Amino acid sequence: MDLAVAVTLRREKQRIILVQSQVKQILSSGAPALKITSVGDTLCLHVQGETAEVINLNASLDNAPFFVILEGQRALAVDDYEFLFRLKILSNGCVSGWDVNGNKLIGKLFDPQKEQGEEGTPIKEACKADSESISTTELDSLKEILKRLKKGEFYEALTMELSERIREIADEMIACRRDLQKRIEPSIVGLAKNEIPETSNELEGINDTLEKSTMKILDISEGVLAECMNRLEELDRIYSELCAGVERLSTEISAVGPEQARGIKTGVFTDLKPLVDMIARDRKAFEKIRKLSMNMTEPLCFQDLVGQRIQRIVNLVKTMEKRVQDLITSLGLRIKEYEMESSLHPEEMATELGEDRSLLKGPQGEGKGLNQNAVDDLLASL
Amino acid sequence: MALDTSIKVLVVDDFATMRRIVKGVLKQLGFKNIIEAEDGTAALNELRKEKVGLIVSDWNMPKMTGLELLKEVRADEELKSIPFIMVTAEGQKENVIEAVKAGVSNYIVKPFTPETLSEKLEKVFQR
Repeated sequence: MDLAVAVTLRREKQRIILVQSQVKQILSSGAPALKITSVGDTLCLHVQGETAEVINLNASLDNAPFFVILEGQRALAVDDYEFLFRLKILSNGCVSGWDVNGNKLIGKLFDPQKEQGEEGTPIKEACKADSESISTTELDSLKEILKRLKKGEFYEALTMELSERIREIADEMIACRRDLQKRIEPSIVGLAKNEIPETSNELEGINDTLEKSTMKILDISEGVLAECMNRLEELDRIYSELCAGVERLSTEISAVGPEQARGIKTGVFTDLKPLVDMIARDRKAFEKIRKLSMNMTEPLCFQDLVGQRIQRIVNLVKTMEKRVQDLITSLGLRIKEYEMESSLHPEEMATELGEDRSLLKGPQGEGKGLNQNAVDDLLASL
Repeated sequence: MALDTSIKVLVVDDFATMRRIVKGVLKQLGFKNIIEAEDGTAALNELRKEKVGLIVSDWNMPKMTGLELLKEVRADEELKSIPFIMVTAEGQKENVIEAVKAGVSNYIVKPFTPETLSEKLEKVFQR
């Protein structure tokens, strides 16, 4: 027997000694881990999922400062306690030991089978019965052991307190999450299920419509251009044939004499002049239409530029959609139809797209970014 | 040096309309042999399949950007000498500098006129 606890029983003013194997735990009545309940006259202690019945105190009486939890789901209510060392069993059912102050104490050994208070020897009387002394070295050693024990108790109490606080915080968080669910579920689920995907689809729809319209404009422009080219070729051919015909005519009529031939040729040219002028005018007009059709390509770039801007907004909306879905998932909100998109999310797309994506700012607004002349100057300087 | 319009030109852009516009301008300039790709990866496949004499590429494309395509082309022994014109809406100074560093032959900012493309082509082939 190395260690024992001398306790003063509540309302008994009698000290008894409990050996180490009999004691499970000593708790102050205010320990956070301790819950005290009463069933009839019985006082019960609840600690760490176990219950112990107080065997020396009626529930109608006030609580004790300390409780000693014993093996066998029993407990004692005590006014104070002292640790005893260097124990010695005496012949009369008593035990002697030294407290941390170097006092030798003798007390009746606790018998779990007997009602407490039946018998026992007052400590002071017991002390007189033994005059054995303890050395200073042994006393220091005892003090050190006690200090460690006290420290252990402190940390145990602290751990208990912290565990209790953490449990309270967890309870609060769960309650808060439930409250959040109740408050935001109807609106956020609607957003995630309908509104955000609809917005994204609408924007993509605009892009599709723009592309189709641009293609139709290009069809018309290319049709006009092709027609112009055909007409220009036709006019060139007519003009060439006309010139060749006049040349042939002038050769054939040269036999009638140079003077007359010249006269006929001049006459023919005079007669054909309106036709030649008309061909020239038409040619000029078709050339102008051709240039106009060609110049339509510049404004038609708008589809690409608008499309890029819309795509940036689509990506932003999709990112928002993902964030909301993440929020829904993390809050455990219920969406029956919630399914992950099979397509890549914008972030994953960005990762796939490569490092230079951070350089891409999209089409520049009016007066922002470099125009072609500034780009040319920059290229020349580089 | 006169523009050799018999060469094969690869037009790379993720927007079908832009590919069509660039092709239209090139046709007006006399180029008849024009092929298309919708991103850098598809463009590389085309380049490794057949001999191309000019690349006209957008920058901002999914899968592989125009800049990445340019770097791949310049790093490839077989392809590195192909003239590469970037036609893009990215009009920041740092974009131009980055493209020049990667070895771009010329840089056109959208929207562009047929004259601009014609002028840049002539400059590229004059070198």
